[in-house]
Amino acid sequence: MSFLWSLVDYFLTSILFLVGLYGILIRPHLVRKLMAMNILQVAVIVFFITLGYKDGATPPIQRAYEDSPVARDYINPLPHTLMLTAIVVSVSTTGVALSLLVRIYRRFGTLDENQLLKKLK
Amino acid sequence: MKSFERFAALPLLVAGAVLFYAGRELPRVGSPDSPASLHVSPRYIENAYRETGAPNMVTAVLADYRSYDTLGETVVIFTAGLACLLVLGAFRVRGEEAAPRDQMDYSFGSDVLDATSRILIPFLVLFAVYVVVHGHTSPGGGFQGGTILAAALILLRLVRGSAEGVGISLKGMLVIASAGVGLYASIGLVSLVFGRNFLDYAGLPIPYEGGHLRELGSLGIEVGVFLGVTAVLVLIFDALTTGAEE
Repeated sequence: MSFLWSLVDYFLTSILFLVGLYGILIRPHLVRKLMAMNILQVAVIVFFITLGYKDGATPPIQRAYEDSPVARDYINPLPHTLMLTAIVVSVSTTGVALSLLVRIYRRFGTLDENQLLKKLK
Repeated sequence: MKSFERFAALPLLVAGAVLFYAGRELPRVGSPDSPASLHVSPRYIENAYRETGAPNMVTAVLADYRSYDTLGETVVIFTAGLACLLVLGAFRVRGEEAAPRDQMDYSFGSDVLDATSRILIPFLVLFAVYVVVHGHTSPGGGFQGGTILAAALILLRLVRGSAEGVGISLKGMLVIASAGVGLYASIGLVSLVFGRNFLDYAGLPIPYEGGHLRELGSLGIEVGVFLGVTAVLVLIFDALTTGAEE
C-alpha cells in the first residue's frame, strides 16, 4: 500500500486527465469542451513536472558558490523547459479555438452541439 | 442522444484503466534515479553555467541548447495569431468591399477600476521587463515576460476600451510580432554568416568570449520571443473583441 502511496501524484494527474477527457467526450456545449481541453493539457503539464521532481533537490538555478554542480542536487530542468513550450502551444490552440467558436456562434447563433447538429441537417 | 452519451463513457473507462494500470509501473515520485533524470539532464545540469553563462538551467536549455526548438515554438504562436486574424476575417481581399466593423465598446471601466489599473500597470510593465532581462539568473524569460506585458496591455484595453488603450492597431501589432520572430531568426542567420551553425551564438560578431557571448546571444533571442508573445497575445485579444459581423 505504501508503494502505491508513493505514486499518488501520478494517479491524481490521471484523474485530472480523465476529467478533461470526460468534458471533451460528453459535455455538449463547445465552450465547455474547450475548457475541458485546457484541463486535459494542464494534467499533462503537471504530469511532466512531477516526473522532473527529485527529493531534497533545489530548483535548477545554479548557486553562485558552486563550481561543479551535481545532478542530484538540482531538479530536472528538461521537463520544465518542455512544459514551458507546451503552455505556449496550449495558449495558441485556445486562441484559435476561441476564434473558431466566435465564427460558429455568428453563423448559427448557438454553441450547443445538439442544436448545431440539428441546424446542420 | 442519450444512447450516444452512454457509449461515450466506454472509451473514458478504457482510458482510465490504461492510465491507472500503467501508473503502477512508473518510478517513485521524487526518485533521483528515475530514467528521466539519468540520461540527458545531468549533462545540462553539470555544464549549463560553464557553457552558456546562464545559472538558470531552464533558460540555458530553452535559449541555448534547444534554441532551434524554441524558434519553432515562437513560429507556432505567430501562426496562431495569424490564424485568429484570418478565421475572424480581420483582413479583406483587395477590391472586396470592407464589411462594417463591429463598433461595440467592450470596456467595462469604472472610476474604481480606472484608478486601480493606473497604479497596477506601471509595475506590471516594469516587472515584465525585469523578468525578461533577469531571466538568466532567476526564473523568467521571454515567454513569461511577454505574457505579463500582454496582461498589462489587455487590462488597459478592458478598463479603458480599445481606443483609449495603447493605440497600436491590429496591423501595428502584427508588425511587432513579425519583428520579434524576425529578430530571433536573424540572430541565427548572423551566426550562420560568420561560419558557425544556425543559432550557434559563438559566431556572433560581439567582442566577448565563451559564456558571456552566449548569454548575450540568448538574451537577444529572449527579447525576440518577448516581442512576439506580447504582440500575438494582444493580437488574439483584439481579433476576438473587434471583428466584422456576418
